[in-house]
Amino acid sequence: MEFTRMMALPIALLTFLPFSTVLKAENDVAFMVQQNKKSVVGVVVDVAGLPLIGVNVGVKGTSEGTITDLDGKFNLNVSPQSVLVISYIGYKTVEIPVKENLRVILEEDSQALDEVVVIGYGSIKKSDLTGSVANVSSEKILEKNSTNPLGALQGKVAGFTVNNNSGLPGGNFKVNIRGYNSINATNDPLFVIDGVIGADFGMLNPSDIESVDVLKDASSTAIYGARGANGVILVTTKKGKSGSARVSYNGSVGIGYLPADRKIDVLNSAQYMDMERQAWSYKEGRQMPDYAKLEPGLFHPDGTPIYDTDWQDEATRTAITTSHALAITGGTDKLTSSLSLGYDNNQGILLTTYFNKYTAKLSNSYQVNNWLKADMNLAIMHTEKNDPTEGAGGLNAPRMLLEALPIIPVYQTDGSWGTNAQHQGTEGGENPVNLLTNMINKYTNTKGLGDFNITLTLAKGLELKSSFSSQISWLKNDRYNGRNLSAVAKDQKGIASIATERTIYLQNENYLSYSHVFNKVHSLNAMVGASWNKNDLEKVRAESQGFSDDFYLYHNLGVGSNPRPGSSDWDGWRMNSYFGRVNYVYDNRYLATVTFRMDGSSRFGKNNKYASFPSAALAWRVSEEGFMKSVSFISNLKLRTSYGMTGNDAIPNFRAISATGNYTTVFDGNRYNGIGLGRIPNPDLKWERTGQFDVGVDLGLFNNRLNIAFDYYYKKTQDLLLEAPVASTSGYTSVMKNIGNLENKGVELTINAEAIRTKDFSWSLDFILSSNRNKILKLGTNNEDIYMGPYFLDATNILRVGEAVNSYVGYVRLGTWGTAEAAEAAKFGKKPGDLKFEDLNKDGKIDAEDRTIIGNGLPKFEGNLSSSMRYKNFDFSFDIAFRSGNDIMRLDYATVEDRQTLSNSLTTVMNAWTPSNQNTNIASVRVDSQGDGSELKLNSHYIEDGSFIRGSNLVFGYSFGDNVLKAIKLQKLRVYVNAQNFFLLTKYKGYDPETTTYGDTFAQGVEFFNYPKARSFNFGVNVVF
Amino acid sequence: MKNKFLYLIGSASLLLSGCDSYLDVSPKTFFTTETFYTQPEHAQQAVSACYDLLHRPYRGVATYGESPFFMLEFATGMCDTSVGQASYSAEFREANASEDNLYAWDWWQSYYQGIENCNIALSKLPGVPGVSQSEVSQYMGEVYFLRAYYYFILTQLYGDIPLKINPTESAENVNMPRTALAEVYKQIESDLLEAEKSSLPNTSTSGKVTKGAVKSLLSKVYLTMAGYPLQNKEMYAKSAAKAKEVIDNGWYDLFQTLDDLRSSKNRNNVEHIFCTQYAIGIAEHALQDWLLPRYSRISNFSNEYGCFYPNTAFLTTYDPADKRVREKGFFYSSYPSVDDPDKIVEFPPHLYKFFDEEAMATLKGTRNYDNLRYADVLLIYAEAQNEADGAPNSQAIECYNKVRQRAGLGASSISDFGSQNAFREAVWKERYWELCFENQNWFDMARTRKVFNLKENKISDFVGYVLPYGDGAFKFTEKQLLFPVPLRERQTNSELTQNPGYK
Repeated sequence: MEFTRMMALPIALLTFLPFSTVLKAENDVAFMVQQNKKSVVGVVVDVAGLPLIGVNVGVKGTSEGTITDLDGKFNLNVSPQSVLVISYIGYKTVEIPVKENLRVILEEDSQALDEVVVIGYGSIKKSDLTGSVANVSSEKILEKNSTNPLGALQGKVAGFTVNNNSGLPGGNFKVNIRGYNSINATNDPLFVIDGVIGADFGMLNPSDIESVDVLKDASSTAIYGARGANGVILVTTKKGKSGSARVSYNGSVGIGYLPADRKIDVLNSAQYMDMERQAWSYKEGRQMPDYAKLEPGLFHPDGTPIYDTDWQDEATRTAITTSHALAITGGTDKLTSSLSLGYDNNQGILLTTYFNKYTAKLSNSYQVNNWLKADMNLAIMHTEKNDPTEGAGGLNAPRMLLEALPIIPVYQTDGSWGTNAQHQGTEGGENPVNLLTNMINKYTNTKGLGDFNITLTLAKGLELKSSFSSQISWLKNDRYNGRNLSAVAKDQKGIASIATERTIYLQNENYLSYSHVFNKVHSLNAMVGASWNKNDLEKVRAESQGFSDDFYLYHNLGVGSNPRPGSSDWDGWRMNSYFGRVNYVYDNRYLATVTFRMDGSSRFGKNNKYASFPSAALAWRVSEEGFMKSVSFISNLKLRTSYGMTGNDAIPNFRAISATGNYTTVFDGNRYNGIGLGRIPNPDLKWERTGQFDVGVDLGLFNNRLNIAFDYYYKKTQDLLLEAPVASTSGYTSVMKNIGNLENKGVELTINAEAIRTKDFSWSLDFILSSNRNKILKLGTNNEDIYMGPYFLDATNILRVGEAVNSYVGYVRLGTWGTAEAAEAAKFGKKPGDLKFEDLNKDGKIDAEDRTIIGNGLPKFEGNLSSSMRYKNFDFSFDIAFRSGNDIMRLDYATVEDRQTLSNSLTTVMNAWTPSNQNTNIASVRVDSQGDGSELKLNSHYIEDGSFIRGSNLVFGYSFGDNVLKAIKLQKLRVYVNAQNFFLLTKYKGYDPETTTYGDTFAQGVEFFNYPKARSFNFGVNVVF
Repeated sequence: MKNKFLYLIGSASLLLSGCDSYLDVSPKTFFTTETFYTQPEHAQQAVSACYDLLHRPYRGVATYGESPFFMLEFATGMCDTSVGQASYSAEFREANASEDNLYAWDWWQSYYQGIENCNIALSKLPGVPGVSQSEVSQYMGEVYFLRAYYYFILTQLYGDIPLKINPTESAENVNMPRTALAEVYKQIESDLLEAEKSSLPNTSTSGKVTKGAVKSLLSKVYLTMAGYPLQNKEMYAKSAAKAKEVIDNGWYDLFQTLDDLRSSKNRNNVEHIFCTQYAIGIAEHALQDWLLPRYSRISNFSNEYGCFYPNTAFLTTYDPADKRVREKGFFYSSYPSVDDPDKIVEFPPHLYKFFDEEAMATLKGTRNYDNLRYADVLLIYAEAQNEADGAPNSQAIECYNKVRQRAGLGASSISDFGSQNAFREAVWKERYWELCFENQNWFDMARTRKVFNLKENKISDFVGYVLPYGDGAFKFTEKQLLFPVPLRERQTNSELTQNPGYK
């Protein structure tokens, strides 16, 4: 009978049958009613006699409980027969019968680090960990006022880089772990939220996150097989806790602005006219036109400009940000629940830009009986964003912030918008205020993340977990570009479009886990499971042009006189995987982990549907050896090493099979759709494989008040997925192939120190430092260079064997040709005052072969220093991030320095070449519309050092004491002020060295007019009822 | 205990029982090569795909109004530009092109893509079910013509080029060496003769390939074969014969006026033999805003680029009485301002030949682009007959006169030309005056190895010609007789050699 019942469950689970009838099999035990209660007060201290704050004090066998206050005190109503369970992370749990004036001394756990770390498909005591896993707690995440939780992870884990590449509200984040493993597939790590693989971390409200575990080495990530190569980030959201209900509220309001020290110097009106006059004199005898006569709207009769507009002032504002998060948690020992609600409203510092985020989350956990537990998590997010700054390369708002002429007004006297077109010979860009006002680019993103899972305890130590999860995403993009925006939508008389994208991801995972200690010294953890994933994406887009009025925006495409063809798309993939892990510990000293995963994916060629990803790790806890017991200052010493294979499958779908392509032609004035060649098949297409070796040491000193972790890793990625060029005489230009190898190697150092720990004063410091070196080992069939986007003037990036990815390519600018070099210049077809480039191959001409690697966007090292201080009720903490050795390719120089009179220029053009100012690297200024010609080439002058030290976060808080809290009946009340980006030290002359304006894989550091980053200050409050 | 073991085995086996078909996901938005060409409608679609690549040289490839179209114009040394930043154009204008010039890549890549579409269509069309014999024949005729056309342009641009007439099956072993020019021409001729035999209509206003287009292209191919570098002299007679066939059939005529020739309303009729087709909302080009005088505010286009305009030296070679050189013939130098219609904006003469009033209203370029027009065929006949027979006959003179008379010039007679060479050079000059800026002149220069020496208004040798701008800095050598094999292609295909002078 027992067997039948047990079999029924997994069968029901695995076949998706309803199993409610099964649940009735056993009666639940109802909540017990306690009688004869009395009040008990007590205090919890550590061995040094210092109070411990926030210790859980529970009543055994009930849901009742409380936590200790700032003085370590607690107060509970319990029956005299009760037993209290007192537990605290890092300390041994104590059970003690109730008595008067309890003084509980908690000893630190002899294992010291017995906090539990979440690993894929399970969790493990930190002391038993063999891999490289870093944990970030909810407190750390909440320290930063970040709408996107990624922002809160900046500088928290060594080797985990979080770039926020734009000042756009909501951010533009790019993350990676331990360097770059891939060229064409993604370098983004895999996020797993409460077991849902590939879920969107950004959708979470930071307040809802319990902890984040970053898996870095192969022994930790290999359990995610073909998706683990870029590292895995496991996110655990907050769950209910048994005990009295807890209501908490976090709220803040803040301002952000463009810091004066980050403004970029562009010409003012007087300087601009001086420059233009000089440009007209580029050709002898040529005079600047009489603008007083030609453009009376812009010039006084004496020829001086009427206006002097500072566009960086006009188009930016002091942005207001508000944030609210409410959470209610509580439960019994059978049923726990957590409910939360969040709302963020962020204005951007550029006019009209905003980002609003709404979140709601519900987590329930139900211990049905002694062998069945059910959990359900539901999270919903809705965001709204307006980003009229897109379109890098075009005359977009961030570009016109610098390129709008100072002599142009925001509004002309007749009320119409001022525009560069008012001044003859310019490119005619619209002013940025106009662009921000009359371009609407609204994104609404609605997401749901759901996870239902049950855990069956089949026998002591043997559990079966089965989960059904889904992430549903609905993204909508509404755009309208106004009828009068020149070079944007004027020719089309307004462009409106609506695009939607719906994604449905379904996941079923089932795994058995077993843990047992044999003969007291052999500890075994084993797990085996299977997973099915399914993802479907649908897109629909409609566009219309030619509107009689801007009134309709994108709300009525039907009234456009020129409807464009609608479009739709579908995409999908499936995955099926099997995985297992064995973790063995002998006598708490010798640890071994072996994992295995086999992944099958619809994305890959019929010859390579499945692949296997094994890993193994060993660790030795030296500090547990007898001979180490006498070394009292070493409280923990663990050596660990691992090796494993992981994969990367993140290439577009259907790349292994052939595809027809769409063509269009016209007969009799009508559209004829053509179907011709599209893609050439590659039935051998498979995942990239990354083999990673890691060796690390964890050292705890002075009772673990000083912890040091150090890792060295070496990763080699083979079978790089490459959009490999093929001879275009075949009709095709490229095929997705697995050719190429690259390596990443690096070191990571993490130091946590509790420098001071007394009742009134505590100070802890966290320091991380990491350094990664990337090198391409093999490319394509003949190791040929591959030029990559972003494209601006030419390909900005190059992949070359022996060099790192993210290398920039271009010419070497030597300066300008001087009058004395006129003859030499002529050989190159140049004149004095022209730019002088280096003829690297000495063939007497400057051509493609003179291009070389002129910079690299990857840092040599980066790190972060965090400090947290508490004195009595005050707390003070800060984060200082630093990065060194990364170059930035600032393409702006091409249009605001190397060419003139089409738009405004940087003040640096005042140092342009003239016969009397020849020692300069800026060519003589010219009038573009007169065909004077400027030489625009990607070159070394566009490269700047992007190293920086940033004061990223600073918090000063005050928590009200017990007296106040009692009076106002609150458990906690804290107020704080927070400053972000409070200083920035860098040689970079653009807005911010953490930058890119492109989406290409190796676009980090390639900037063409970015959205400026704000400095911001917030005032906030944390309340617990 | 036994039960628990059974449980373990049972559940493990359940967990591990995946099914392979779960991973088979079929695309829903495109066919694979295996699933297409299975319905009668697919035949037309396969053919339509072959036409599309004709559009490619007339679209932009870079930021500053740069287009492969300009390659063949700047390479003639007859134009200037207002766009200082257009480096791809500038290289050709200064006779200093490098092998990574994007124009050279774009012509090469897009036309080979067109060729591959043709290769696929030719191999699949006979097997498409439910298509009648005559339909297949017509489709095949269109595709044979297009393949020949693509190859004809490519081989003139690059010389010996890989000749590939079968569809690519896999990405392996696709590298090919160059094929000797004569072989390529043999294939071009054979494709055109196939097309000539097919059931194509003689003429059509649909924009599709016609027998008239096939014969016209044949005459042009033969004329080119007779010139450099093949110098297959007997081809002059074949060229003249084909051109004569077109002329004598009376399928085409010249438009009465230059305005009619220019008008975007005249589509695929009268003089237009074979054009790249455009229509609003379906296929649009940017020739209009590219060619407008730079930021002159004579149109509502946001960008008036001024990408190229004729070198003034070229304009002075025309007879002042020639309607083509007079205001709003092929050129214009003033136009009312769009801001104030009473204000006339003046500028150096720009190209008016493609100016499209309709586009000034719609702001969409939809004027068809001529690949073959009747004036060209008339001049081909005049030239080929003169070469074949050693002296012009009356029909050749008549053809020559026809073109000139439309331009308002008087008729000439045989006696006006003292020698075969006098007539030869007269026809050549006429080709510059009539066909200028239509992507034709450079081909004439390459096959004749002669240039129109603008400053001296005479025909000179190509090699050694000093361009009329740049103070003598820019000079033609043998290098300029061919365009560079794109660097990108040579990096991929190690079997390709570079043309002389580019490496």
